[in-house]
Amino acid sequence: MNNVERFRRSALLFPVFLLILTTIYLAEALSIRSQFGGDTIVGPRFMPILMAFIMYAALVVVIVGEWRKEAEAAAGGSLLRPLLIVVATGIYIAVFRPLGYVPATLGFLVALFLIFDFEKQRPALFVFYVIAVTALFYGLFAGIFGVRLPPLLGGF
Amino acid sequence: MEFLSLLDITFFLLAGFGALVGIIFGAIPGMTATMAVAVCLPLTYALGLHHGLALLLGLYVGGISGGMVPAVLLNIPGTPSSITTTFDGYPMAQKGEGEKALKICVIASVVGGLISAAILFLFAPLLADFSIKFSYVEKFLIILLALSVIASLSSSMLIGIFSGVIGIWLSLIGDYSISDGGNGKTRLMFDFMEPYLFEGFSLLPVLIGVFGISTILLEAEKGAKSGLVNERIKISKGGGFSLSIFNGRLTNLVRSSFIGTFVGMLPGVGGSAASVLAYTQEKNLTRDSSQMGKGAPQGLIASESANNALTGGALIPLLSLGIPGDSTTAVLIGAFTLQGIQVGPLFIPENTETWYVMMTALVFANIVMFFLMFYAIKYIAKVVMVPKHILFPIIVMMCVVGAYAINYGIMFDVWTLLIFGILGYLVQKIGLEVAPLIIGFILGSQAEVYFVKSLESFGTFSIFFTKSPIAMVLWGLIVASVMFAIVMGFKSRARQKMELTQVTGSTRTASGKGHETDND
Repeated sequence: MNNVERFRRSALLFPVFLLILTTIYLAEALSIRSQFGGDTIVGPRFMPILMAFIMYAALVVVIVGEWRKEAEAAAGGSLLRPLLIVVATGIYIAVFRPLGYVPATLGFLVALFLIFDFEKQRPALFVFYVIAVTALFYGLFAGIFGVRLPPLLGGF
Repeated sequence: MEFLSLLDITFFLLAGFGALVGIIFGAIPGMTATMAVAVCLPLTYALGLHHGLALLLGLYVGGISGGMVPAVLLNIPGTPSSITTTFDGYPMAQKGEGEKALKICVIASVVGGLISAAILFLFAPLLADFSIKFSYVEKFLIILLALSVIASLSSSMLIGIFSGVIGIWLSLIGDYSISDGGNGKTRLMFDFMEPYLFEGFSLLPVLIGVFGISTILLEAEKGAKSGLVNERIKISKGGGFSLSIFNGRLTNLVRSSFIGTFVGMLPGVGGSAASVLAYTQEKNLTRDSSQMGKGAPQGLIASESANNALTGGALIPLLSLGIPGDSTTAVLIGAFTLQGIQVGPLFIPENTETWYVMMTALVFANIVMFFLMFYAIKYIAKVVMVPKHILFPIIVMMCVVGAYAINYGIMFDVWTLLIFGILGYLVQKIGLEVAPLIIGFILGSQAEVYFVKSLESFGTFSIFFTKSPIAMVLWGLIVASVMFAIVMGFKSRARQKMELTQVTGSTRTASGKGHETDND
């Protein structure tokens, strides 16, 4: 296996990503200034800089180790479902307040039940579960725990 | 005895309900006690501190205990801490002794839980009393010790360091106030983030994201149905259980409970370490270990008493030093934060009533767990077949609405939940660990404050080594934990090399024989 392929397949990508991130973090940490002039070692930038150097040391060990060893085949699962959940949750959060709890949650549950292949063959049951879960948790949060959930379309 | 007035019927109902829900979470493979506590955390906001703690401690005890059900019946540990329960539980279930195995587990669990609660009750106030005298130097060293122990006991020390440092990084984001030795400005963020991150990431959505959302993302990858639909539960009708099984095994029961409590006290060490250590000890010390792994009751006793003893043990450093003993107690910090209470050396002296309430909830949750699981085990066993594809969407929805609810509808907290859900997922995908990350996140900013204030007060680095005999002892423990990790790393590498040599040797022999056969 050549080095490029090894890099692509092995666990090297993340340590290199962390290396870049650590450099950005260190640059930011070095720009932190103390409240009273002279930058002594004790100050707001000490701990971030220390953490960055610990990270560098650990990363060097990992990168050298990974470069030396043969890449192992990764055991795979489907990444599609987690990705869809993240997208659906992102949309849910974005529309939660503008649309209100009820429509946003109905839509979110429809999306999640579809992602998890829940009762796709029985539409009536599917709809029943979506409405029941939305109503149940409205009752739990708003009714029992007194949480002020966003009203319909931000209004009433 | 003023705390007795706080123990109303709602308190006991919530502790019992928590234990039941916890058992259900624990019994469903892939769902853990930590997740149960994280998902239900926002509910405690409206319940108040004492009722909220009753619910969360019930969830904690139930969640740890529930893991035994799929471990025995399906050979799948419901929670990581019940891994060693599969070794003897499943062989017993296959012999038609599923119910007997579960009842042994239940008794071992309740004994482990109660012994650890007793140790917590006796030991935590003493440790808190002792640690009140600590200066900033000792407080910093205690956190350094906690972080070094977490790193040492992770699957690899480097993984522990990575995870912990990422957690500390994230904790340093935000304003560093002048009173804490800082410059009064925000740091480690872009300017446009200041309105959102002035006080850093809020702890509660971080906890719910890492332990709720990320777990669902990991499980979703496997597929919600995950083959359990086709499994058949063998619990058997034949009892075969009697208390005489414990005759001659009380030493094992008590020893394993102490091991579990001790392991629970070590920061960031999960229940799997407790049960593996107790199981190994029993295997080494018992006169006849030939049946262990084939359906021996002593294996179940060691495993289950140790993992339930973890509950009391993990609360000791939390309530006396403010350092969480495991992931679940890290989430419990969220419940205190939600009510504006800081855990640490002053917690027990200043909140005596809350302390007694917690002890009552812990003991009561263990008792409820015992009655529920001992007498209704046949029904609870069916929980393992609950379809995840309905539970997962509900849990995700509960996490989002919960994150919205806890801080009066601050939308950035809800985005924090998603960000940390994704981060927790990615971190685990690449082999890092969430427990050190979260404990680093919780302790990181405190460590910095103690460090800077120590130097401000004493003006020299040497103070960290010479401040007091306690500081020297703490350094000794830090060095010992690092040495332990290095030695274990070398041992594991040597073992891997030896196994690789053996495999290569046998492959060569086999291919040599193959060639000879071909030649023939």
